[in-house]
Amino acid sequence: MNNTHGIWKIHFSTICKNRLLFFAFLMFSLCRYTYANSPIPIQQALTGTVLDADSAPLPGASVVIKGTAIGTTTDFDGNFTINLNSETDILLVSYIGFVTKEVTVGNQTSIQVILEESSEALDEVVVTALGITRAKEELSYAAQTLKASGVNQARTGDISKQLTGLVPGLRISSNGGSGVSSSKIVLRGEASLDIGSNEPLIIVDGIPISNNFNGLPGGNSRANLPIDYGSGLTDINPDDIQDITVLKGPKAAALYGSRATNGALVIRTTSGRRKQGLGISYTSGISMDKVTRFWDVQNKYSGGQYNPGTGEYEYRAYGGYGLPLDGSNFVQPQVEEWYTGAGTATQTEARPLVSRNKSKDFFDTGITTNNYLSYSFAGDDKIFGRVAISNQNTNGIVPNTGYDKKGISLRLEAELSDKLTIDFSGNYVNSSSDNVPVQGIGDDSREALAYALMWAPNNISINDYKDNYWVFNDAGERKQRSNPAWITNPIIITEENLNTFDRKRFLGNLKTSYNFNDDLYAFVRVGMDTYNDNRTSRRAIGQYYFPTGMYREQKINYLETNVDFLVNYSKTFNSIGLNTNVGANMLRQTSGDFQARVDELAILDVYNFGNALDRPKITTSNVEKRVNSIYGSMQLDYNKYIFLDVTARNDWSSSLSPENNSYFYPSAGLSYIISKSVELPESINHLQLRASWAQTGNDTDAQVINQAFDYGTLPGSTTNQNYVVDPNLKPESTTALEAGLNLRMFNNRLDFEVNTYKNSTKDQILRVPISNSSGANSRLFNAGLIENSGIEVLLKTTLVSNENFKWDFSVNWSKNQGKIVELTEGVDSFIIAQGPALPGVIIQAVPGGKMGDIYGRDYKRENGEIIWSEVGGIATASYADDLVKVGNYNPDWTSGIVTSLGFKGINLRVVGEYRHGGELYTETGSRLFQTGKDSETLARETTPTVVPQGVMSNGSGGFVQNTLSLPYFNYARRIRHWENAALNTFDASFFKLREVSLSTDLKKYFTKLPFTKLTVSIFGRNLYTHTKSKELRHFDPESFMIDNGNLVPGIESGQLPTPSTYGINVSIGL
Amino acid sequence: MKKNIKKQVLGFLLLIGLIGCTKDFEEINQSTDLPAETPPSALLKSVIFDPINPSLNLQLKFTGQVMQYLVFSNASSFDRYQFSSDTGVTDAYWAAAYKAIRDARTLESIADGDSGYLAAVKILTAYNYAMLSDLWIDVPAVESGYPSENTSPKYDNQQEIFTLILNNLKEANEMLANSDQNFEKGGDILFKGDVMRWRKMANSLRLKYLLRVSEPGKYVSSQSEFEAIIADPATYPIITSNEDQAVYDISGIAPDVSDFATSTTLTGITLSQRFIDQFVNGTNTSSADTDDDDPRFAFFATKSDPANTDAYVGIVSGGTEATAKTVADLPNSVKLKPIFQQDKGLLDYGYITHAELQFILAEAKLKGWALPLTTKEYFDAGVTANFDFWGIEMPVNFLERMDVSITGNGASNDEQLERVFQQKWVAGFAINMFDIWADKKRTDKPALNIGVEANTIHNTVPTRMFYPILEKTVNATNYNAASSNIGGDNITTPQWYQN
Repeated sequence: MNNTHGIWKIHFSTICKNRLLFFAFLMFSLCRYTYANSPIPIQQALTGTVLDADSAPLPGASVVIKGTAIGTTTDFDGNFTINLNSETDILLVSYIGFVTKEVTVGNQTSIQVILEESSEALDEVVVTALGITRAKEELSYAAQTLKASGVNQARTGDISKQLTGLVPGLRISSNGGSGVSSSKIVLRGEASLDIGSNEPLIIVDGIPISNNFNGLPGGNSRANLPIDYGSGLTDINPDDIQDITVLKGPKAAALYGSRATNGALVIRTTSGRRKQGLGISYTSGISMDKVTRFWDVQNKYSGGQYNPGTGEYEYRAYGGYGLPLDGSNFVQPQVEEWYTGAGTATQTEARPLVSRNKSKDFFDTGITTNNYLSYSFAGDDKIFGRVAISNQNTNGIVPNTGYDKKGISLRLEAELSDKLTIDFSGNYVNSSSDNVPVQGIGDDSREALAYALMWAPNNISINDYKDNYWVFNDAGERKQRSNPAWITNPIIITEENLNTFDRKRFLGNLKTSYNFNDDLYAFVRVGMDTYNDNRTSRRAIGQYYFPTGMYREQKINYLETNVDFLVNYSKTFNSIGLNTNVGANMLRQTSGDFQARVDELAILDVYNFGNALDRPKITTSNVEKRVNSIYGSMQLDYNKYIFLDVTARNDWSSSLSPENNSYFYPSAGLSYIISKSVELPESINHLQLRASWAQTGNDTDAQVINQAFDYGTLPGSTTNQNYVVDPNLKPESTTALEAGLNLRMFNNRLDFEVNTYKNSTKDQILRVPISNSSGANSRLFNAGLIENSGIEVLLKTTLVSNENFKWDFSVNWSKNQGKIVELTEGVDSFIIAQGPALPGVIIQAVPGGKMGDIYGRDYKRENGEIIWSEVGGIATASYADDLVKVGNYNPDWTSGIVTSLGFKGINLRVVGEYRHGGELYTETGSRLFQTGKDSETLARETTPTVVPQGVMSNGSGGFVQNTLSLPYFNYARRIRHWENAALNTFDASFFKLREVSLSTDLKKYFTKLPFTKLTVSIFGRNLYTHTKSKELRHFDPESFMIDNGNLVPGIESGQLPTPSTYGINVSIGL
Repeated sequence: MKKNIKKQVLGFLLLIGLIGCTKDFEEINQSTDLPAETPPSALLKSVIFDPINPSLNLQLKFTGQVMQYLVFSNASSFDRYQFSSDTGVTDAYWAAAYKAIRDARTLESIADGDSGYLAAVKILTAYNYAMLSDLWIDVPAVESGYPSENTSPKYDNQQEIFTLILNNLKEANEMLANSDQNFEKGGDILFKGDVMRWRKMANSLRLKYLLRVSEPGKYVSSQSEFEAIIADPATYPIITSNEDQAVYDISGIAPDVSDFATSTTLTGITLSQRFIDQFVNGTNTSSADTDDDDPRFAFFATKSDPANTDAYVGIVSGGTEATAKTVADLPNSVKLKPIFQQDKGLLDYGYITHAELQFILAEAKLKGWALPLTTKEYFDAGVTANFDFWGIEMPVNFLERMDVSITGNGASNDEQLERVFQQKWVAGFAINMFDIWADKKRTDKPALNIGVEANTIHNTVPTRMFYPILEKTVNATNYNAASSNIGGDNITTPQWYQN
C-alpha cells in the first residue's frame, strides 16, 4: 500500500493475485464466528413478527426482555426469535420512529406485534447505503429521512422542488419558468471546481440514476441556445415515492462509490406490502402557475432615446426613454420591418400615445394537471405487488410552451420460499414537450425572450406583435416585423422557434435475496437506468438572428447498468452486536450524443435536413465507462449504545490509466448513546454523540485521458484536440470529518441535532486553462484543494399536543464555507464559469478565496470612488484593466422553518426559507437601465443632469470631488453598464414562503363508503419572496444562468420568472 | 448445510474475483469516434483553413475599422481606438493561429520526409508568426505549439521572430526546389500540389517581410536580400499574375464560407466616410480632378435608400456614437452591398496578392532599390491586378487620372509613396485589410483622419493590441517579461520595425 497521495492505492496486480486469499480469510473468519458461538440455555423459545400499522414488516426492530440485557433484533422480514426466562417476562418492542410497545408474552410461542408510528419523531428511521434500514441513532453520521406523504402535501410534480428548506445543509435552487425546469442540488457546499459535478448521487431503490442536466456541449454558436430540458430527477413521479433519505457527506455514502462524494438522496418507492383495503389509490390534482414577481417597469414613457444634440428625449420604437404616455397624438410605427431595404414605418397615422404594454402581460397562467392511479395486491402473504400509472400535463407560463409526463411503475415482491425472495421495481417514464422556452440572454442570443421583452416599448401592445409578424419584401423574401427591428419578435420566439424533446426512460432493478439462515443472507441485484432523448430546435426563416433559419436535432442515449452482490452477516453475542457485509459492484455506463444542424433552410417552415442549402454539421460521440468495485463494512455495537462502523471500498475505473485506475477508500465512525449508558436527568430522553472520518476517491470522464485527433472544420480534415492530459493523472481524493450531537428532551417534544463537518477535496481532476500560445487551451490534471466546513442545526419541537390540537415547529440552520486552499503551482486562478460579456463577469477560484467568488470588471477608482473624466463634453468613467472580486454566490447561512398545525384532522403546513448573504450579478437589472424600462429610470424627471458621486482629476496627478456632469440617460447606462460587474452585483439575501398547504382526511364523513383514505389538500408554493436588495426585486434571487450544459449560480441573465403556484390535490384510497 | 454454505460462499468469492480484473479497460477508454492517428493530408487542411476565418473576422471587425475601411453603425470602439472594451476577435485569432502552429508541428512530425508538407508548414507558420507579431510585437514563437511539453511558452522578441520568418521562407523555397517528394498524400487545398505556387508564395512573402523590416538599423541585409530575389527569378520565383498569387479560394459552400458572407456578422458594419473619400471624392487633394468615379466604388457600395439621389454620406471613423447613428439612419448613407452574401465564393483570402506585391515593388523602387521596372510600371500593374481580381473593367485612361496617376501633377517622391499606399489600401479591401496596418505603422501612410472620439484617447493610430487577458494569469512570468521588453502592454507601444 502506498499512502503518499492521501488515497491508499492497492496495486492492480497485487490485488489480482491476493484478492481470493484476502476474501477467503475474511469469510473464514465470519464462518468461524457463526458456529463457534455457544448458545444460551433455553427455557422458552418465542418467535414473532414485528409489523407496522400497514402490516409491513419492520426489519431491525429491537426486542428486549424488560429489566434485562437480553434482546435481539428482527430480521429482514420482521421476524425474531428470543429465549424467554419465564412466562412473566415482558417484551419491550421498539423501533425508531414508532411508539415502543410492552408485550406480555404469557404462554404464547408465537406472537405478532404491531407498532404505531410515533408522531413525535417521524424522521428517525433512515435508509443507509445499500438499502439497509437502520435506526438513526446507530449512525455515526448525519442523515435525515422525509416521508413522501409529508412533502407531497404540496405536490408539484418535481420532488426536488418539494424538498427546499426542509433539510439543513441541503440547498436546492430551481430555475425559473414552469413545467420542466432543472434544480441545482448542493449538499454541504461545492467540493469540486467543476461546478457541474457537485450534485449528490440520486439512488432509487438501491440503484443510482443519472441526474445529468444534459445541456449542449461548449461552443459559442448562436444555435447553442440556453434551453432547460429538465434534469433526471424531474422524471421521478413524487407519488411513487415512499420516502427520501438525505445522506450527507462522503461517510454517509462511502458504499455507493465515488459518485456519492457529495452525499446521496436515497429514494424508496412504495411497496405493495403497504396495501390497505382493496389496494386502489387515486390521486388527482390541478395547479395554477401565475407570474407574481416580475420586472418592476415604469409605465409612463414610450419607447425612445435621448438626443444629446437637442437635449430632448425622442420617440423610438424601443426601450422606455421616450415621450410621456399622455394620450397625445403621435405617429407610432406599430412594428418595424427588418431589412426590407425601404423605410421602417408601417403606420403613418397618428394615434394617442398611451400605455399598452405591461411586461407581465406577455405571460399566461400556467396550468398543471396530474392523475395517478395505483393498485396494490397481495397474494398469500407471499406476493406483494403494486402497479401505478400516472400522467402529468403542464401548460407553461410562457405562451405555447408545455410539458407532458406519462409513467407506469411496477413493484413486485415475491417470497418464493422461506429463503428466497425476489423484488422487482420498474419505472417507465415518457417526458415530452412541444416547446420548451429559451432562457437567458447569453452572448449573442438576441432571440431570447427576455431580451425581446425588455426592449419592447410600453406604447405597443403584445397584440401588435401578434399581427402579421411576417412580411415579404419585393424580392419575395420573408422578413420579420418587430419593435425594435433588431430583436426577434417575441411571438416568433414562442410560436415559430420551437424546441421540442421526447425522453423515454426506464429505471428498474431486480433483486434476488437468499437467507441462508437467520444470520446470513445474500443478494444479487441488477439495475438499470436508460433513456433516449430526442430533441429538435427550429428557427424560422426571416428573423433577425436567423435570417436563413436553422434546424437542429439532438439524440441522446444513455444506459447505466449496475450489478451488485452482497453478503450480509449479523449476529448478537451477549452484549456485542455485529453486522457485517461484503459486496461487489460492476458499473457500466454508455452514453451517446448525436447532433446535426443546418443553418440555411430553403423552403419556408419546413424543418428537415433535406430542406437545407448547407451541408449539415454533425457531431457524434459515444463513450463507455466501467467501474468495478469491492467493498465491505462492519458495524459493531456494545449493548446498543456504542456503535462502531467501519467501511472499505476499492474501485477500478476504466477512465484512468492502468497505473492509476485503482483507488481504495476507507471510513470509520463511532456513535455513543449516552442516555442509554449513563443515568441522566429524567427530562432527557435521548443524548447521542457521534463522529466519523471518511475518504473517497474519484475518477474522471470516460475517454478523456487517451488523446486522439478531433475533426477539423473542413470535411476530411483533422486537428489536435484543444486540451492536453497530464500522463500521470491520478484519482481525486476527498477526506471528510464529521461530528454531531443529538438530544431529545421532555418526552421527545424537543429534538435538537447539531452536526459539524470539514471536507477536503484535493487532487481535483480539472481542465485548467493554459496559454493558448501553447496550441491548446487547457490541460487536464490534478490541481486544487478545497475545504468545505460547516455546521448544521435542526431543532424540532412539539409546542402543543393534545387530542384535538397539535402544533409542531421545526427550524433548521446551516452554514457552509468553501475555501480554495490551493490550486497548483503556476496557476493563480481558475475560471469556473463565464458570464455574459467576457471578461465582464466570471466565477473564479483564487487560492485563499472562497468557492463561488464572482469576479468582474469595474471602473477605475481612487480610494473606492469612481474616477470620472470628461469625454465629448460629458462625464464618463473607464474600465480598470484588472478584474476585481465583486461578490460570492454562496449564502453565508441558510435557514428553513417548517411548522404544522393539526386541528381535528385538518393539517396546516407552512414552509419558509431564508438565505442570508451571497451575491448575484444581474444582467436583466442592467439591461432594464439600458432600455429605460426600470421604474427607477423615472429619476430622469427629477435629475435630468447628474453629477455622479466620485472623484475627478485635479489636473496635477491628484483627485478632487467630481463636478463633471452628464445627462441622466448617459448616467443610467454608465452606472449600470452590463459589463460592469461591480455595479450590477447585489446582496442576494432573500426570504421565500415556499409552501402553505392545508390538508384533511374526509374519510370519517363517508363511513358507509369503503374509503381507506380520502384526503384533500389545497396548497400554494412560492407565494412570497422578499429580497434584501431592491435591485433584485425584478426576479427570482435564486436565478442561475444556463451555460452550455451547466447551471451557473451567481449570474442572472434574462431568466424566466418563477411563478407562484396554487393547487388542489385529492387522494382517494379504496 | 455447512458444506452448502461454503460452496455458495466460494461461488460468490469467484464472482468477486472477476471484479478487479480490468483487462479491457484500456480498450474501453479509447475513443471510437475519433481517430488516434491522422494522415498528413487531413492535418494540412486544418493548418491551412482553420486560421482563415478568425483572420477574416479580425480584419472585418478590427483592423478594417482601425484602417477606416469599415465602421460599425451601432456600438463599436475599434475605430475610436478604445481597444480594451472587446478583445474577442483578437483573442480568437491568437488562439486559432497558435492552434494552427501546433497542428503544423504535428504535421512536421508525421510528414515522413515529404518536402511538400515540411515546406508548407514552414511557410504557413512564418505567415502566422508575422500576423501575430504585427498584432502584438513580441509573441511566443519558438516555444509555442508544444502544449504537452510547455503550457506557458516564452515570448520571443520581434527582431528574432522576423529573422526566423525570413529564414524559414528562404529554406522553404530551397526545400521545394530540391525535392522530388511533394504532397504525396494530398491535402493541399491551397495550391493543389503545385509546388511552384508554394515557392512563389514563400518568396513573395519574403519580399513583403523584408520591406517591413527595412527601416535603417533594423534588418540590415533587407535591401540586398530583396534585390537578390528580384535579380534571380529562376532561383526565387515570385508571383507574376493574378493566376499564381497566394490566395485561398473560398468555395462559399459551408463550412468553407467566409464571415463576410454571413449577414449576421455584418450586422451593423458598413463602409466609412473614408471609403467614400478615397473612391468618390478623391483624396489626392492637390488635383482639381473632376473625372468620373472609380467604378470599384459602385461595385461595393450602395445607399440606405438606393433610389436616393443625394451625394453619399458615411460615418466618419472615430466619431461619436450619436453621430454615427444619425448618419446611419440617413437615406443617402453609404452601405456595403450584399455582394459577398449573394456570391459566397466571391471573396478570396489573400496571403499576398499579385496587386499587393506590385505595390511592394513600387515602394521598394521609390526607396531607390535596384529593380528592373519603373515605379509607374509596378504601380499600374498593381492597380490593374486589383480591377482584374474583382472582374471590373478599368475605364479608359483610368491610370492617367489626376487622383490616381502615380506621377500626376509632378508628384514628389513622398506624394508618390502616398499614392502607392492609397491604391494598396484600395486593393486590400476585403482581401487583405491587415498588412496595410503594418504599412501605416511603418510609413504613416496612407493618410487617415483621427476622429474626435479617438483623438481624446490616443492622438495616433494604435500600433498593436493588448495581449490576451488570459496571458496575465496563465503565463504571467513570460507575459510580464514581454510586456516590459516591448515597452509596456499598451496599444501605442511601437513595433520594433518602426522608426
